[in-house]
Amino acid sequence: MTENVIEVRSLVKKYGSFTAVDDISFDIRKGEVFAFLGPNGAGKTTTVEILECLKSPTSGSISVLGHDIRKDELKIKEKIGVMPQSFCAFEWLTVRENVDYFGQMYRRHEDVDRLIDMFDLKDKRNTLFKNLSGGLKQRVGIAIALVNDPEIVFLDEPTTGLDPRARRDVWDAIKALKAKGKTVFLTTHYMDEAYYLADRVDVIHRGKIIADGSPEDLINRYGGGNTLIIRECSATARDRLLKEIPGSRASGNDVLASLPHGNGMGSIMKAVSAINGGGLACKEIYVKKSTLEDVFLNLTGETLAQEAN
Amino acid sequence: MVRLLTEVKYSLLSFFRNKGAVFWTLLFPIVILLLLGYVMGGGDGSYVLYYNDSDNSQTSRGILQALNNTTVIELKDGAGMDLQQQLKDGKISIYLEIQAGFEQGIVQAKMAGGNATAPALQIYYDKSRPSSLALISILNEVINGLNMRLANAVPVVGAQAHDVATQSVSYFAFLLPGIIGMSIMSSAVNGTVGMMAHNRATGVFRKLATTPISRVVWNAGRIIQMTIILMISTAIAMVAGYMAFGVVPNVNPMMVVMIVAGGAVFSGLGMIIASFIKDEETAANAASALTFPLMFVSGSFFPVEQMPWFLRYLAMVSPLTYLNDGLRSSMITGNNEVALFSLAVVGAVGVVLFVVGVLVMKWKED
Ligand SMILES: Nc1ncnc2c1ncn2[C@@H]1O[C@H](COP(=O)(O)OP(=O)(O)OP(=O)(O)O)[C@@H](O)[C@H]1O
Ligand SMILES: [Mg+2]
Repeated sequence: MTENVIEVRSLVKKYGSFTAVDDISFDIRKGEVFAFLGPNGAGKTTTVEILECLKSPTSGSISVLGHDIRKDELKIKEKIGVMPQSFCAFEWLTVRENVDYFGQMYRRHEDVDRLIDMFDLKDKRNTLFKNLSGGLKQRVGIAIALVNDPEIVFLDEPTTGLDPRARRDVWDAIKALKAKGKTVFLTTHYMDEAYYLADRVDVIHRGKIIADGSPEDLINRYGGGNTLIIRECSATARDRLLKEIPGSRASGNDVLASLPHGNGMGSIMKAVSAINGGGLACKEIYVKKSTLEDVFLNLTGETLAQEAN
Repeated sequence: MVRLLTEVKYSLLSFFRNKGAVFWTLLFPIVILLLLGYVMGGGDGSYVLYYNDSDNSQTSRGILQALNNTTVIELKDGAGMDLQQQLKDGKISIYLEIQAGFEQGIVQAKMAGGNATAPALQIYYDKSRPSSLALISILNEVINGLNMRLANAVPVVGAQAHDVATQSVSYFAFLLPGIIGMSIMSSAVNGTVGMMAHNRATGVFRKLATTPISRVVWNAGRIIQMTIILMISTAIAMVAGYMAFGVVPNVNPMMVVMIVAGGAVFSGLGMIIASFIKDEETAANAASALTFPLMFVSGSFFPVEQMPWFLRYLAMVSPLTYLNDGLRSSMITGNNEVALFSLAVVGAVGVVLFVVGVLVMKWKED
């Protein structure tokens, strides 16, 4: 039984009459990378900022590292590290100065140069923050979030707006946190990010948690199984395949078939033999694994990307 | 303590790296000082006064001697020159004419005991050139002194000058504290609004709010940083004032306290503006919209008394007026009573605005 570092019970947050977080409860265990996955406006930042003592909850009980957020704000702040959404440090200070500045704000802080080395920022230590690329800024943000050697690290959308290369770098940095044994609370609207980084994912939608589990677990439960895809078939081939494979449907010139749990082989064999036997013209055939994207689609009827623009 | 020092150190570092901020805070006031000083005042440390002494008597020579003794005036004999033409051509801004029979007139006036009109020094000047105004005020003072000596305070010598707005200090000496007051206001208001709006827009405030630093420490850091910057800005303005116009102001504790109090007034004002106007650009515009008119109605560039009555009411409620008065009294005229009164006003307003500013300033939303 691992200990919980965060316990949230019946958290509600209202802005006027609008309910941004609607009665959610969850626990985060020590040492895990926990992700909130949800589209824009789902309530991710609101929840995270309540845990960071930046916002006060409308109701609910929340404890962080055993402290009540309403009573022990300062104790919590000493022990957590935060990278806010679209983080920006002091523009006219260098990387090193920024890390040092924030380090001095805590009673206990890490060695600045060691931290800079750890995040591969050595070359940039004397560069002004405003002159850094987006990916580097985020990495500096993570380094700063670690400056007080926190027990929990909160990262709010750490890769939004980054190019794929910079995203990989930030992902590596987050993986390094896990290796250091930190508990990480991550929010994202990228399903691949949650899949790659998180030990456990909570899907949040319109202020409610609608699913909880490891990425594989969620995919198995809500992903709707795997899909067989046969692409660019001729008209005759398409009609034959639709007849042969149970539960198949057409999508343009493609034929798609959901593979039943633990029994996908049958459908695949049928497809292959139909194509072989009838000399059907199709370009390719493959099985697409369902993703967290499908989980979200199946749970909400909406796509993540659509809302996340 | 470590937090406070770190805060001050890095905020000063940021400030000095930001060339735009440095220019507007430290150099812009000097540009205005030099510009206004030269345009309005003519440029040299002393005023050149051409004269034509047709009387050439003991009295007229005495008057010229007295004027010479002020050292502010450089006398030049204009005998044989067409001074009137020179004035019309804009080559000079003022000249003094002592007509023949001047001494005799004085003797008669003295005997009549003030019942006869005193003979007048004829002063011709170009009203559009304010350096002439400064000279006239100096002439008036000299003449008053002469009158005292000549006739037990019965005016026997008059100056015939028209539309004279008398100023008791020279224009540069007047301008320098005004510019310092103005730059305290604009640096503190615009600097504070800009810094706060920017920190909010970039999310630096949100990040700070997740650290254990308290708002009290953070604001203490702001006051210290602002005071240091304002002191540097004042020192630079004083050096510039000395080098360009030879003004040597008094440097005293009163003036230093005035600067700190003024910094508090206008930082507080900036904090309040930035707390209620969230958008960075709108807040900056609001700050300029407020400070720009205050600059002109608060006696920074010309005396409040020269303004129409409705603007004088504005001046009365503008804290900058009191800051300017206080700086002028402590730096130039040495009038301690005015200085203390101004300091009391500025200090009280400063405490109120700063406390309100800290209270309304939020790092986090609810
Ligand atoms: N201060 C506020 N006042 C009013 N409404 C707010 C406030 N902050 C957030 N909201 C609303 O609450 C909802 C949740 O916002 P939140 O920022 O938590 O979403 P999010 O999941 O972090 O989204 P994003 O991916 O855009 O960051 C949104 O509809 C937002 O408009
Ligand atoms: Mg968010």
